[in-house]
Amino acid sequence: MFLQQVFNGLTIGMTYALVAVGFSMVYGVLELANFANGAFYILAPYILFLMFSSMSWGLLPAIILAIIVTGVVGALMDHFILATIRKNKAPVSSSMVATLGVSTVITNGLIAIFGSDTKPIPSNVGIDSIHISTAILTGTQVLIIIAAVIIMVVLSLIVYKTKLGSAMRSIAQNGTAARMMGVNVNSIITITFFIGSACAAIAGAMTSMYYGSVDTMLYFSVSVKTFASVILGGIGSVPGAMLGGMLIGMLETFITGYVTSAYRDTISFMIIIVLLIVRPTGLLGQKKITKV
Amino acid sequence: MSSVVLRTENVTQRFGGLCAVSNASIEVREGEIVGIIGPNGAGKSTLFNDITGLYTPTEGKIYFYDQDITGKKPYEITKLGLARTFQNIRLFPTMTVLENVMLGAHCRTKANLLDVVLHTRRNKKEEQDIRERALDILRITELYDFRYNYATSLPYGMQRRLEFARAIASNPKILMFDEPAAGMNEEETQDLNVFIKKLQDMGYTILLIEHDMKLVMNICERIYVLDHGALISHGTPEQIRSDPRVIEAYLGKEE
Amino acid sequence: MARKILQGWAKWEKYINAFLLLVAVVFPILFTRPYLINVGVMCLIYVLLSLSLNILTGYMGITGLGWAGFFGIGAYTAAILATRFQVNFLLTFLAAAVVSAIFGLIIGLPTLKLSGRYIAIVTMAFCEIMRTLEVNLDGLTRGSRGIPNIPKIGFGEFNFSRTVQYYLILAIVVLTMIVITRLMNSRVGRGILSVKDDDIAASAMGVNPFRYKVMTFAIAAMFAGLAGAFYAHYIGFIDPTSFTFDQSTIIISMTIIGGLGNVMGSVLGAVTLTVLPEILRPLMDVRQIVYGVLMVITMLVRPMGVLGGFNLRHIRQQMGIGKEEKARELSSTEN
Repeated sequence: MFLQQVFNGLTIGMTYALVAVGFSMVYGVLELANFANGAFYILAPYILFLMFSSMSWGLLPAIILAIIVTGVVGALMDHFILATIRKNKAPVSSSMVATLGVSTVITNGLIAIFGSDTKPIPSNVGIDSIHISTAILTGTQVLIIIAAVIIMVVLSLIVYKTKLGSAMRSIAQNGTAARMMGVNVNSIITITFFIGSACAAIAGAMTSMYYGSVDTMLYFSVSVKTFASVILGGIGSVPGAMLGGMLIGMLETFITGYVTSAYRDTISFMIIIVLLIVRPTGLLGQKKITKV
Repeated sequence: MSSVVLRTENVTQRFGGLCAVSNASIEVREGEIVGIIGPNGAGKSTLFNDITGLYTPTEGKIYFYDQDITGKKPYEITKLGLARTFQNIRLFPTMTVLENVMLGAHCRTKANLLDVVLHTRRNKKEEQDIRERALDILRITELYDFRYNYATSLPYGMQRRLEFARAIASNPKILMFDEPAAGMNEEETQDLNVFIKKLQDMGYTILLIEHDMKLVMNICERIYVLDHGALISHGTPEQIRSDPRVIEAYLGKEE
Repeated sequence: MARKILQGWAKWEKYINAFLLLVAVVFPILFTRPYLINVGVMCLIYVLLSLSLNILTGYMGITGLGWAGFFGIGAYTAAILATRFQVNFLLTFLAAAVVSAIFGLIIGLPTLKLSGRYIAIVTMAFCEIMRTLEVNLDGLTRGSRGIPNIPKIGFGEFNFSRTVQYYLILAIVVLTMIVITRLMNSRVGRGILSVKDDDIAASAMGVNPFRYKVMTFAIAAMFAGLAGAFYAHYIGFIDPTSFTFDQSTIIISMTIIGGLGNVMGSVLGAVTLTVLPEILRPLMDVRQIVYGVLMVITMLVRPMGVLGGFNLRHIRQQMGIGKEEKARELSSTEN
């Protein structure tokens, strides 16, 4: 029972970590809470559903398509909407409201097209289950854990070891200075949005496979868990987002397993609020010095 | 000797491993104009921010008329009688020139939520008084004609003057100017010189940070020199001018 | 052109407001169909909600996302008091406003010390906590079955007619607008604006930013609670589905699209976005999509909203026709 809970918590935690990392990268470069991130998370499973059920594509090509399409939607949102808002020198809150608008359009668009009932998603990934004493690690779980670890390692390498990553970090520290040093700020931001949205898509696709279904209600719950994860880990910190996502997933699973499921979704909210009071910088975040 | 308005005692400010100010002790007496100079990154602004409550010094104490104000919030310090301007002007863009100055008097007025909503007589009277006073200050600072313009629509030099006006409106004992001549041309600096002298005649004590050596040498009675966060010299303009340490640290490098 | 219109509006504001009020007053006399009066009441409830959020988001600059949370607190407070303890509507309104303001303090005190960027997330989380509580605290809220048979507004056995209820909410809205206008043209209003514009400079000028943020939050929550109380009594039935994040999105859409920092903006936003789906029935199903699109377009074209950021008093002063100018002329001729 306990080991099973650990496995389940780990699986869910991995998916949260993945979304949170994408969210955190975007937050890093723009200080923008991207409310469309949760919408991208549910967009991917619906593309998967469409391709798999209606077009009878194979699972892998369907997943790849879903990831690419979602990533492109994220990049387009930045290029056509957010970049314009930045150019107009409007405050970040305007961008935030715009992402809220985009997420409203996407989620309600999905409801209008697919209806609000739950859609089935195939969950057989062709990997055998692993039995460890009394606990079972299903094929999907194995896939999620392996894929998430690989992606997070790759992302960390991108952020900390590549030219692209150092450009991202320089923008995060000082956009104007980065521009003067010859960094093409807008394209870096658009690329960051592509990566962030793709992460959300991967997490969304894998979670829907894990549960074997998708519905639009997921949008809200994943959005808030993302916020909880990044706030717990320290907003703007990539390793923090990973850690935060894992912890939220674990905590949620254990509370559902041992206490009650009625308040499962509320736990994240409580964590957000309590944490902001006790340690607003999160576990791995750093305090910013106000410059005057 | 006149009484000491402001005194810092071994103020040290560290940010992580960086020591921005170390062991700085200065004092400003009533009616004086005192300057703090030093090369870029010498810790002048940090010391200013420590005094005005934006930062809390890592070590050391700050006294305002013998009252310990270390670690107090900026708005508490302002209420005691210490007003400042900012290096990069910080006016309120959605408020008019007049409203900016009226806001300066915030801590000298009392109208609360209930007064305001019920539009009590006390509120009306106070609002009128504060308005008259703000208009007077605008006349002194020659901004009266622009009172209904938005603060940030003014040209640069006037915005600086508006910051002075706003600080004066808080009825301070001591005025602290953070690089008041920054971005000003020769003529504007000359006007500023006259203006600061005028403020001194009106009874204000003034502490300023400045890059413009000419202004500092002209108007300050005493000068403190900061370098790498530490005070390296202190004295009258003549003494500073001839101090080899200062020349080496500051003047030597610049000229 | 735009400037001319703005100046005209500023110059004739008093008359324009009087005219709009007249329209609102004769509306139920001219259109007596219950459906139309009902639409009118819903418009006014949303105007009140939008105004309340405008205090926080427009004037104070804090994006409040979970506004339906406070709407719900007001509604549940009133509904529980009225159904269990047979409390009169005057008291339930008062209680709803107070309880909602207290919740505003509870949420505001710990979180408003932080930089503004977290507040949107915190308020969103708060709205969801409230909804979960509404669903799960069965003993108090009857969970997802909702609270039916909430007494209509009236005294004892005597219930107000639909039209009288319309006038009641109209009066509440007008009063709220007067309160906001007085507030913003005062010492307190200047404090609020200064904190929004630059909280460091405000602090250096003697304004306590934290205190102002908390106070504004509580006032805004109070009006949202009041709207909730009216809603509960008027509809007669509430359940958690009325206070979801979607509802919050609707409220913030109205506030932002109509115009931040302008009371008439909230009127424009709330009335347009309530009436539009009623007129274009097919829009009803996709109305959220329309809101989303409008929200994005507004951010692209006018981030402050259609009427956002206009200060008519400033425009009058700049035109030299302000109230203070007239008073000055008068006193100078007397001397």
